[in-house]
Amino acid sequence: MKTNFANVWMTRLMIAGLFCTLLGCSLLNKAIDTVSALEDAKVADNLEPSEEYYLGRGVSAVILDTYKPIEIKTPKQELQVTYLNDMAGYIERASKDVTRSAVKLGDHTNRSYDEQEHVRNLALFKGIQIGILDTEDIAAHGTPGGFLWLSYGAIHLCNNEDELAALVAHEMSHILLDHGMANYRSAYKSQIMTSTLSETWFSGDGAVANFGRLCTTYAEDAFKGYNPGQEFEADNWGARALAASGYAPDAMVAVLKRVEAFEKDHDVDPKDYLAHHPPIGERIKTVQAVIKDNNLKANPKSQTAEAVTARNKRFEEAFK
Amino acid sequence: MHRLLLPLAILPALVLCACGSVRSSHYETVQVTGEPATPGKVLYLRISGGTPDAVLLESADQWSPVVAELDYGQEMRIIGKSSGDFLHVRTVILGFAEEGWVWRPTVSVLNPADHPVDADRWQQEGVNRGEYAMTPSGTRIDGFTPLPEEPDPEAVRAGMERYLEKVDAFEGGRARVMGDSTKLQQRYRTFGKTGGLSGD
Repeated sequence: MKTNFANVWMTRLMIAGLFCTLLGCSLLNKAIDTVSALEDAKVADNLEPSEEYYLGRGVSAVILDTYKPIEIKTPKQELQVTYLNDMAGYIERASKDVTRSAVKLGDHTNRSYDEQEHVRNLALFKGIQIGILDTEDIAAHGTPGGFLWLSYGAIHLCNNEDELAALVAHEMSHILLDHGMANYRSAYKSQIMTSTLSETWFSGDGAVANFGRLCTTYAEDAFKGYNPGQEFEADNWGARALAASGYAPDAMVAVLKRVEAFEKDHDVDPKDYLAHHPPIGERIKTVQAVIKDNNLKANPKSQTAEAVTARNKRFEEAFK
Repeated sequence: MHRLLLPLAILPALVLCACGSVRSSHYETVQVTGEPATPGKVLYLRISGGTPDAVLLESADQWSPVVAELDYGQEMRIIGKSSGDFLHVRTVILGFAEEGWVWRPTVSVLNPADHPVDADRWQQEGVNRGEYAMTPSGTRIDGFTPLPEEPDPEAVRAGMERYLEKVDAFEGGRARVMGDSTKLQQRYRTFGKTGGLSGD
């Protein structure tokens, strides 16, 4: 009987031990989840909208160190700026639902519906603002805070409004999907984790250095192009946004083909100006598949001769 | 005693399963550039000593134990194949040879001692291939180009401000944030309508 009594208590102890172990692991899971969440960037998503806006201004200033913006002095320049900003505003408004479903676009962006909506609102503190860079170099850069810089070279690469809209939509998606900040978070995770975001970037003795570093790193990434996964996501989002805005999604393919042709004609090695971009041929195929698989189509009304003529007319008035 | 055997047998399995369920952190990948991994190549640390990435690691993994901390300008030589974004190098620290892995973007073929002042004014992988830089000691370094003269930051900022103010003015002043003004919304609608893109 004594032996049986000992066995019963031993078994109870073992069960209690097992319970405690499982509870401990569960708590550990919870703790690691919390840390992962922080590392995965809920931290940077917690930027104040005004902080993101001023970060965008800082990054823009670095970009403008390389390329000057146009001086808006002539009626033609006013027309160009107005036209581009109206186009960007229209696409952004018309493609709200595309942004909300961004979580489905690829492997890179991994946010819930609400988180993506939050990031979108952050990025668009003051809406999308397009600036024109006064160079025939091909340059197109999106920054936090809704700033989008397009060079004359990039604009002149496009043959019509639909292609220009594709270019704008692609760059806009880098802003709305927060690609640049995601890269920065990954690169400087350890520093970000050492304190709150505001302490790290926007106050204290190291504020200027850190903020400057953030702006510079972000701009350097913008010059090199985002990483391949992000580029595919941007093409994907862009094609969907075009369809949502009434444009033909094939315009995304058309503008990529123009880039491909430009590279061939000018014997340009893409690595020289877009170090991280995936091969253009691969992007074209991927976008074509996205359009086909998702049955993306233009608004039929936008394909009538009258509508096409109207768009071509305003495009040519602005840029031809 | 057999009643003891069952819990004893399943305990380790359960513990392992539970711990195994801890999700590994998901990290977004970042494309990095840096030095190609040619064995024998001499490289120098180009970031400040004491910063988190200024370290020699035991293996090619960011969470690997640290073999030693590195100083700015620390000389090292590639001794083998790279692994991902890490280079396998040998260096001398306090007179002792140490081997380990460094993160590729932290090293450069430029010897900072050759560029005590102007290190920031050189860019790796020039815009056009075949460009090179000359060090003060007369060494030619391929793949580098001197950065163009820095424009005056104040002038750049002023130019940007002028530009953005004008954009704001065209768009009705953007008095409101976090939401477009009625005037702007109307303009966007008009843009869609006149281009035959939207019906309303």
